[in-house]
Amino acid sequence: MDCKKIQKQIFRFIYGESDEYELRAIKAHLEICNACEAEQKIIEEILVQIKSGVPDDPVPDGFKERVLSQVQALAEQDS
Amino acid sequence: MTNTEAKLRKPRQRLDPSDEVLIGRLAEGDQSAFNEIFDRYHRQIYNFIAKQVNDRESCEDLTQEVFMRVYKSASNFDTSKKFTSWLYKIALNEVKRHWKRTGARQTYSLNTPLSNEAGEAERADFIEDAREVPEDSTESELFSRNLRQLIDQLPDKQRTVVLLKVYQELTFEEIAEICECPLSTVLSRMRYAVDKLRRWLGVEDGQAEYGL
Repeated sequence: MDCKKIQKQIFRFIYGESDEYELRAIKAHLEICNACEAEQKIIEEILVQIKSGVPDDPVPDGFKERVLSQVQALAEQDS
Repeated sequence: MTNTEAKLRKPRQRLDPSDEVLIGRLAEGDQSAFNEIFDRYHRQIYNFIAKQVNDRESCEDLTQEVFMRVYKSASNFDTSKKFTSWLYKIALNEVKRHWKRTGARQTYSLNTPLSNEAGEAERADFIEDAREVPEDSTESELFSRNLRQLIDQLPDKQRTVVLLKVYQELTFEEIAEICECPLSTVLSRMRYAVDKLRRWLGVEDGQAEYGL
């Protein structure tokens, strides 16, 4: 694989979704290409920062009960 | 799994019974199957919506609407598909309907260049914005607030891929199914989105100017 192909597949590689052939080819390329290896590390760092930078929003209190009561009402309506 | 992979996604647990079995039971009228599906996914769906819709009340209403649709449409579920793809597709459609109804979503031009003065102006606005926060904000709150704004400014299709991949931890194949496009298109959208975020965040050659 050349650099262009590697860059197309790099996200699948980072997330562990490459198939066996891609995985071997990408690993072999990264061992000999400093530019692609550096790029991979930058992308990984950005992805980690994006993920950890925006925490999950807590689900409001009582939300589950509200939805389940709506569904219950719907079920009674249907029967 | 590498260290980075571990930071990016939690290992998936095999669910028993599977989602597909549960939705089949729900289609046959088993109310407890709905409760189980709701328990499994309401937090993720709420968070997927909350990263796109700012007011809490609408997030709650839309999440509720998603699960009401699941309840009503269980018998229409195509058992050859993955349940999560179907669920997220419903959620995505609800968000789109919400934007259409309220006109709330300001779409960002796909053609907005990033390598010229306009791109630089956006970055300047971002950094300027970062200075206008309450004094008691911590550095991580500041970063979080601005990162949310940056993600919000991505074109819709790119933002959807980032949200489904980074925060919902779906596979690229699942995202392709949800977005109804080829895998290569999903990967391109991810690339464009990350390149934009990288530029906006000022990350070049491993050097971060802001926050990273």
